[in-house]
Order: sequence, then structure tokens, then C-alpha cells
Amino acid sequence: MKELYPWRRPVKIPLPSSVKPQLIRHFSIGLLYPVTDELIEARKKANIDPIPPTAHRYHEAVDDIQKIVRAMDIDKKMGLDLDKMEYKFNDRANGH
Amino acid sequence: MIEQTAIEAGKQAAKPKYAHFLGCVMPTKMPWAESAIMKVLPKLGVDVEYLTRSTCCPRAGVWISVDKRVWLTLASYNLLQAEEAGRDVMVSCNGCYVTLYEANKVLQEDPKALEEVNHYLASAGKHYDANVRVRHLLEVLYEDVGIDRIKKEARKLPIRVAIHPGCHMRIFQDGHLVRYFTELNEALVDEVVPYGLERMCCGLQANLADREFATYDRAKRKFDAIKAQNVDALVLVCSGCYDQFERAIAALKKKDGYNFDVPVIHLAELLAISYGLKPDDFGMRYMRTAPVDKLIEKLEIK
Repeated sequence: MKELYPWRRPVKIPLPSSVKPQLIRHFSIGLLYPVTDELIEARKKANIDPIPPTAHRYHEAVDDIQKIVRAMDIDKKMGLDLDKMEYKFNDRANGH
Repeated sequence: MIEQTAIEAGKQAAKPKYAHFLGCVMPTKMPWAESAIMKVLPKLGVDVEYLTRSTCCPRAGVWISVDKRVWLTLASYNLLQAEEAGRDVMVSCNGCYVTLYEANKVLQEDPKALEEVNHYLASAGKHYDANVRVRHLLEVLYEDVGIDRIKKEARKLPIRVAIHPGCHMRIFQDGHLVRYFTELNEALVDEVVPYGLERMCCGLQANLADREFATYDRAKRKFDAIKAQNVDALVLVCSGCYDQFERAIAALKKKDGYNFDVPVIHLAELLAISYGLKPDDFGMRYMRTAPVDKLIEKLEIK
């Protein structure tokens, strides 16, 4: 393919803006949605533990996910600074 | 006697044990569904515990196109929690099911992929052998508990419902998950009312690209068709679809004053009521897209 199209280069497509905040939540709390006060009340009324037994309760799972993401270098490829939880190349997408 | 004991021991050993994978949406937006599942399954003889330390499944639809390694490794991180607990994985959300089922299949069939995944898992001190099964809640109910048993034991609830299977329930060519979902609903309620758009997508994936399209050309078209049937509830099992419906209902109400007053409920709630649980046992009244008071009145008629 390279012989046929010597000028062709891989294209880096930016992540869609709708996905960026989801990934920040995924890598900072482990899941897409946080635990809110309303949720805690609803879970109590549902007779289940107020904090779900997911990464919401077991924060070490978030640390593990971050280690794995770093080992795959996917954070750098996405331009996501895992320490600041900010995208390096597009400030408008940060957290919105 | 010895033979009989051996058979009994074999049966005991063969009884599946499940770790319930919650995903992102169920524990944060559908506590009534989580509670109903965890309370009713033991009544049906299912050995179920939580799959703890779970993270986002992750969304295969996003990650396969971005980087397949991420999909397989982060899915394995969830699967290995069940493996460490000596349990199979049970999932209710169709989206999470496809993500975890497909990842597990790849890892069971491709030793190189499993080796690569374990290379990355090692950075967190973890390891996965791909020795678990991933099963849908519908398979556990229909196959393990048995549809015949449920048909025989369940109290038929005096309501009319519309059902939304969801796209990812069609993962298998034989369509068995959709059949299970339909038959389980038929076993639990008086009438499953057709509305013509059962196969239409909720709009969740389209939402990532075009929120207007996802809201008006997908969710609202379904809502209009369902409202026209004057049903008591819309039943689903997929948390991803619920997430989309909840978002669309709120957006339509805010923007257009459109009121989708049909409660969106989980199949497990019907099962729980049918097997003797009370709505307040699993928090049925709270965090709903629409009031469920009228529905509860009908469900509690004996």
C-alpha cells in the first residue's frame, strides 16, 4: 500500500467532543456517573447499600484502571493528562 | 446410595454461581432494578452476589474503533473480579453484555490476545485466565430457573405493557435473547401490547453524534407509538437504553413540554412483584422518569 500511495500518512482523528467528558469520568471515578445525594437516598429507600459496590466504593479499582491506561499509552494518544484530567489539545472539551 | 450421593454432589457442583455486573447506569440511575434483581433471584434459587470493584464495561462501540487493546483489557479487569471470586458473570444491560461476552470470546479463542491483555493487567498486579462464562440475566431466568417454572409459579400481573428489547439483544443470529425477553414478559403480565416499533433503536449510540436525531427521530418516535397504545408501563432490561430514554424524556419535557407519562420499568420489578415482594421492598417509587403510583395500584390488586 505504501508503494502505491507513498504520500499517504495515518490520520489522527480527534475524539468526538461527546466522548471526551465520558472518558474523563471513566478514568477518574471508574464509571460514567457519580454518586449523588439524591442517589444515596434512593438507594437507601431501595434497601441496598447507599454506595454501590463498584469502583464508587473500591477506589483502588480506579488506580488500577489508570495504571493499565498508562501502560497502554492510550492517555498520550488521546492527549489526556491523567494527573490533571484535562485534554492537552482542546481546552473547550475539558469537562464539558 | 453412593451413586445417589455422587449425583447430588454433581448437581451441587453444577449449580451456577453468578457475580452480578452492574455497569455504570443501573447502580446510579436504576436502584430499583438493582435491588429487585438482587432480591428476587435468590427466591428463584439463583446463587448471586455482586461483582465488586467493577468499572465501566467499557463501551465496545467506542473502544473497538479507537483501540481494541483498551476494550479487551478493561473488560478483562471486570471479568477477572468474577474469576477471582469463582463465579460466572451475569449482566442485565445489553450493551455491557455484548462488551463483556465478545471480549471473553476473543480471549478464550485467541491465546495471543489473552497474553497481551495479561501484559497490561500486570501493571496493576492483575491476571485473567478467561475461565468464566458471561451470561445475560434473561439466560439465567429462562434457562437456569426455567421458563416453565416461572410460567407455573408466577402470579400473572393485571397490566398491559409495551416492551423494548434493544438492539444489542439481537447479538445472536437465532434471536434467543429477544424470544426469552418476550416470553418472560408474556409469563408475567396480562398483555404485551405491540406498537410496531419494537425493533427501533432507543437512540443511545446516535446520541454521541447527533443528539437531536437521537431524541426526536428515535426516542420520541417510540414514545409516541407507545403512548398511543395506552399501556401501563414500558418494560426493558437494558440500562443503556434506559439511560437514553431518561435523557430524552427530560429533554423533551424541558424543551417542548412533552410528557412521556408511561413508567419505564425493568423486567425484574415485574418478577419481584409477581414473586411476592412489595414495591417498597426495592424502592420502586423513587428516581423514576414518570410517577408509578397508578401502576403500583394495579400491581397490588390481588
